[in-house]
Amino acid sequence: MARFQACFEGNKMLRRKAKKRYLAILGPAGATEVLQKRHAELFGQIKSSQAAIKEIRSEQDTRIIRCSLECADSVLAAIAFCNPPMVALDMSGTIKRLKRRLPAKVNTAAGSI
Amino acid sequence: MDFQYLVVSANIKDSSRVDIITIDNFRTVKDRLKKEAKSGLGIEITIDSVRNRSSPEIASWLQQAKELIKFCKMSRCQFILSSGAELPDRQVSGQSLDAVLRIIGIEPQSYWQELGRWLDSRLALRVTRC
Repeated sequence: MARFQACFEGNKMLRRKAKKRYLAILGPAGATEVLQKRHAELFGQIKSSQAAIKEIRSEQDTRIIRCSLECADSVLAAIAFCNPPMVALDMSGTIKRLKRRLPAKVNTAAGSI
Repeated sequence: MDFQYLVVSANIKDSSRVDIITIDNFRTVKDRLKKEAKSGLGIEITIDSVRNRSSPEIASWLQQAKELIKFCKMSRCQFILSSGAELPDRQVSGQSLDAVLRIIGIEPQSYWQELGRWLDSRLALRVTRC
């Protein structure tokens, strides 16, 4: 029984999916590449590959990028230091929830002019 | 109608008359700040001032921010981190600010609470009627 439990726990560990976060960013064209470069320069190539920053969708000035949960803090910090400037509007564990909250966030960002 | 306000300056000589001093490079002004900074003064650094610099300069700036935090604790000044944005697209979101605070070794919740208390104490002194 103990041997069976150990095998089961081992399989559970192997099947665990890496947790991701989806970020909505307000920025110009090429913002994802700028962010990837800045993140790599600030935190190193190893951390950057762990972060796995990837653009999922883009509409006009708004981009949805995906990164790993464990590196979300460093990605958010890198966004603050990017040039041309960009703003992290929202972060969520799923694209669905992010897209649902996005219109309110975009209006808030635009209204703060 | 009463309006509360704070006085901000980039000149360290004004530190006795203003609420917040904005600095760019802590290491170059450290000695002057030691002489002129009074207890309760706010010392502000802005993210916008380093955005267009190279990554090694940003890393140096983050290290200086840590040194500034230690200085503020010793001299009972208030450390302030802000976006420094003058245009909407140069704003920094709350989540990004919290991430930068964690990188320089500050727990965001305690920072915002402390900043709130400091603001309340300073704003109580500065009220004007219009």
